[in-house]
Amino acid sequence: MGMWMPPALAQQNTSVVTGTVLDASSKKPIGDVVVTATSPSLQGEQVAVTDATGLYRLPQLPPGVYTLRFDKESFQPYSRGDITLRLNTTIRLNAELLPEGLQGTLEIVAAPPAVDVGSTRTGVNVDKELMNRLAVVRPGSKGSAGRSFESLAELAPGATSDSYGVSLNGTSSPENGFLVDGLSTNNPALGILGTPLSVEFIQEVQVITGGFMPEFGRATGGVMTAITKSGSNELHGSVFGNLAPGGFEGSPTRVLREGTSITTNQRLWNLGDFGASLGGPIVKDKLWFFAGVAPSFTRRALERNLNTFVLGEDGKPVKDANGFSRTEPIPDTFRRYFADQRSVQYIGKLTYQVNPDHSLTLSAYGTPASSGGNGRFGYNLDSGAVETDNLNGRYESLAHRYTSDARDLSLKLSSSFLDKKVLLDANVGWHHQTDSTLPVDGSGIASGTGYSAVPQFEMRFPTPLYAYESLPEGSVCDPSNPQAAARCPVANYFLGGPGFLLDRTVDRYQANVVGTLLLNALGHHVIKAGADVEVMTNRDARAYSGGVLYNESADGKTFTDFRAFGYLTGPDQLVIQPVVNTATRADALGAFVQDSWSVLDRVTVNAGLRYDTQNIYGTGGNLAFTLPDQLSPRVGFVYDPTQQGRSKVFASYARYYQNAVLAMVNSQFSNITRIRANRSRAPIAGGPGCDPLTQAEPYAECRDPRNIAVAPGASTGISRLYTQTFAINSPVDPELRPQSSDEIVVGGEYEVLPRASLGATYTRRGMNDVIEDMSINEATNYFIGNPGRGMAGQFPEAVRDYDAVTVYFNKAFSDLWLLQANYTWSSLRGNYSGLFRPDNGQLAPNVTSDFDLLTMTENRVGPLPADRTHSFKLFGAREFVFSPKASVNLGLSYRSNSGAPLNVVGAQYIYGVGFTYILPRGAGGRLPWVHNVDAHVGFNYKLGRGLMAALTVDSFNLFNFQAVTAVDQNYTFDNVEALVGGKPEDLPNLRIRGTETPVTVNPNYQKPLSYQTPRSIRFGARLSF
Amino acid sequence: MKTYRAFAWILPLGSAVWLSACGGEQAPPQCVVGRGDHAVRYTLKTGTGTCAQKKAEIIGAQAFRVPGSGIPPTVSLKPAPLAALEGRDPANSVLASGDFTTEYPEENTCVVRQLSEARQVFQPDNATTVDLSYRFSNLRIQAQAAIPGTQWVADLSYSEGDCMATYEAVGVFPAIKCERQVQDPAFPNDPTKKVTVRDPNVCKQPRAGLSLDPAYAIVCEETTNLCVLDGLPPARVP
Repeated sequence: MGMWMPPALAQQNTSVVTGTVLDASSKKPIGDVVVTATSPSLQGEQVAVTDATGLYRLPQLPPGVYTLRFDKESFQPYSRGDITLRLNTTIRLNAELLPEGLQGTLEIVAAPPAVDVGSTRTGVNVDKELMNRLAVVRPGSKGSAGRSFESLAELAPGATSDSYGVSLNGTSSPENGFLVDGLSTNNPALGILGTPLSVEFIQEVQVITGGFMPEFGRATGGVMTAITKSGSNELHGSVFGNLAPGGFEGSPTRVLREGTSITTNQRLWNLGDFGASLGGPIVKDKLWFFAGVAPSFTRRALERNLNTFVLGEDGKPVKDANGFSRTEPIPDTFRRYFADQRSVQYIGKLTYQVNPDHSLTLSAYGTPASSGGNGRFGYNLDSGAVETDNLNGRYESLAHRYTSDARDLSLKLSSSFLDKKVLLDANVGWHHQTDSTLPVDGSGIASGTGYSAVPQFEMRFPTPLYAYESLPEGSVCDPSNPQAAARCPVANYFLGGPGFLLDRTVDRYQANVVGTLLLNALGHHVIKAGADVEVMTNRDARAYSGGVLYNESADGKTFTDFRAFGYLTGPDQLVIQPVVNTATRADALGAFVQDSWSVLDRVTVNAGLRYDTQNIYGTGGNLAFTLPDQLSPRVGFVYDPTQQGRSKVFASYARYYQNAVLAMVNSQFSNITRIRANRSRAPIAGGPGCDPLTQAEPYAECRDPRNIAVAPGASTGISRLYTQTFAINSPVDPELRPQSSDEIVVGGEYEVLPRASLGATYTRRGMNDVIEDMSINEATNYFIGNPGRGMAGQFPEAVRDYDAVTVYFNKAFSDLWLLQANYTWSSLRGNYSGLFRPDNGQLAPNVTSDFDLLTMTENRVGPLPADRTHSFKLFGAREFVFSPKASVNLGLSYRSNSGAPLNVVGAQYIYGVGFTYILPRGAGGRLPWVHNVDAHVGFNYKLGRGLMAALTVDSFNLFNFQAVTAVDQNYTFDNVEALVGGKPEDLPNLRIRGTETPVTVNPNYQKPLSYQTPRSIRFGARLSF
Repeated sequence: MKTYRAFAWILPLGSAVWLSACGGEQAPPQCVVGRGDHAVRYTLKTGTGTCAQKKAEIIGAQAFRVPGSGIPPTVSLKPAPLAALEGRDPANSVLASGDFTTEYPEENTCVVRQLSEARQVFQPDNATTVDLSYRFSNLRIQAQAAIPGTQWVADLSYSEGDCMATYEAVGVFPAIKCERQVQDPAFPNDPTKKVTVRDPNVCKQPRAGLSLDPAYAIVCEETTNLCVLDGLPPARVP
């Protein structure tokens, strides 16, 4: 396997080896022993000398496998190898030396210790062994074609994947912090990962789920730190390819639902990546390079069919056993479309060792990607899912051309002074991201040509299929058939242009400096102090194709200008904005100081304080809001009862603050104004009427103001044709406080076998203040505040209480096997899920609809959507060596979760379907357990001259388990009020809001909406030297 | 020495961070009025006669703003008595309009100093002339972010023909009638027969997009059954 050994200072040198050296004969400590660490990870060697108490400490080491040599005059030299040091960990290695002349040998009683005795962090380290020996990054998950490192977070106890990434310890994925080589790569607009980077380019990933020190700031979820590979004095390279063919996909369970005239089945066609990487010296011992490129592709098939309802003798649709209307396919209407995505990931890195004390690293990486267009459908930029489930519309109305690009550039200076007792790391970086959602014909935004100039129509009045599409001759749905209207009604169809269009550029300019001071005073101190500055900007152009998105009314008689940017300069004096530009900015400053103080080799106390302040500016440069004075205390305590580095008990307390994201500032502080009107389909008042079925693109007739009917009679209304929404920026509670959470972690770990430790942790997390938008007066106007405080004092507080107990057993790869097993019991309760709303997938950090109205807050407290009471994870791998040249790796992963909680919801009279919690949250019971088995088989063969070939097969959901993963939670689509504190037996008494009329129960209530992702298989090949 | 030099520039950076934390006040909301009907309560200051009888009425209102221009928006008011006559006198406007003095409030208040005259003059028959005129001035809208919604006070010179009066006008948005429908006691068995009764509790009932902030001090004005502001802005429930 290619090994990318980084030079000494260029890496994240944050790991520590410490211990005590004793005289084997007298058991007394020995001073002045020279302890020398060597490792392929190190350029040269690191040296420390024991003090009078026999204590030594080798700080700031890069992760790797080490050998320690102990030398002192009049003692026999002693050397210990095979010491594995993980990223950001402290291990303790005690040694005994035999006096010279004394006969005898030292018994090596156990393998080197593996417990991290220096920190209270929880989470998992994912190194090459784990990445290469297990099936990781399931095809079809977000970023999976390019095998992005983000999904490795799923290996951590307490981690579950959600719509936009991985949820850690009950938080939502946009709350996580991503640090690649020490700089943030979060998307400044949304908080989610901005630069997906292939695991091929990554040396090690640390998933920190809790208990972290002040050096990590501005994240209320977890932190993922990834270290990219570097070149070394030996030339190494690899060529690789991976393919997941759709033909091997397991058969998915079909979701039974009410028959419709248009159905679409989606399946994987193929997905894969290929690429190469190369690293080595440019000037030996001075300058190294690493470079890699990995194009990837995804193709999913969208198989569309037109159907006709089966009618009974009464002329009404026949129902099947499940109560759904039966349909049958119309012959010769099957058509297959593709959703295609292409991406290239690249990295280039230069490491310059100026002298043994100073090094510079320059790295650049990025991921340009595109999807859709040319007859193909695209993929949602944020969730990675195909842009539409059902092809109920014209191609140019449903499909878009998406492009995205992320580019990161960073320069790192690592210096050491005073015999490595003082260290200085400085980083400057630039994260640049663009994405666009454009018409398929390349006409761009507001160009006035092509589909950019055609408004979109969402048709909602049941209309015969033939009105929208041409059908095969003689079809039952042909207009000549008098039954066509009854047999082929289409209730939802998209016509016209592509609707909402966006072209966005976001940037993050960041710089940080961290100084480290190693000090001996009543024990060892590692004191760190640092500061960082970050400027995030967002510039975008947003538009609706043709300037407006029309919604047909349910009776088909009118069309509403549902979305149109514009404003009024006087009574009915309309200005339509073909495009709206926003330019927002957030400035953040942070500083921290922390001390890791180890006393007598037995106790480590970590204490620190972080300070952050953020100012957020709206379009036009005016202050939107300020989030000053964020003080995050963090305290940790680690005790090693064995004093041998083989155990620890620990506890920590930490406060975490959220990093502001710009999406809400774009929408709430850019003076974006929308215009609405109601237009008659039939011609009135001498106007042409508005009817996309009889008029032609770009449907300019609809725009005629004569189509807008004015109610007769006197009115105090000032503009009688047009209404205007969101005329001002959101008011902000003058007492607004930043969003933060508190965490307590308690745990213990013991090394039960060589390199294998058993541990248990308890984690508690809760929210302090939460930032959301709210309306006290039923959507009359909204403001930004903290639910339960200040202006929003009438709202319930935002609550998200997470309690979890994890028991784990970790055995790192040694003696040809590894094992990670853990079980987590957890409870996640409250009324606040995080920066997105899993109930409907709404990604709207700090402006979700969770707290919008006072009348929507009833029955909201209960088990949250990410609550999984039980979670088992088991990852094991074994290598079988057949000959010095050939070996086989077997890896097996088993993951299971108990089911997610279910709600009983109805329509809310302002917000519509799903927004009234009829019964308290969670009253709908739970989904069944979900089990998943993934397998990895790898065949390795040494071809000689350092050349190595590997063939791999990864199977995900090996047994094609098909547990239900979502059910319909809509009890009714009628407007209802919450039955506060109600029970399921109260449901029959439910009435339509404000009436005595019983509700119509949704026939699909609690029926499955989705099943587990079917089995997929990925084949891989690699050649490396 | 190198070490101290390094720390020497960490320190100023750290201090800069601390200094930037000063201030920390949130931005005030931009000047605006609720779009739609306002309930306006009148307090007579001078005048007698028919024009000095006003207790409360509905006035339509809307603000017009060019987004991102930084130009203070324009406010238009449309008193219900003039709206009822709209079109009878095309020569005069039923709207009283004026510009805010600033885009953002000063001292928690947004001010429109002068509004144009809203007036309708016409002769329904040869013997009579109807001449209603509203001159608003010194319109002050409370603009504390902590009190969302619209409460305002203005001076009004009102005339009906030769009768002139001045009022203090106090407005609140939205206009809600403190009345509800109940079964007509004369026809206890006919659900189609309803009568209207006054009920101050209606003022604070939630309704989509048009609700009074529960924290507002509101009373039911009994001659018009309008929910009007109790006191001067900012008026909140104690």
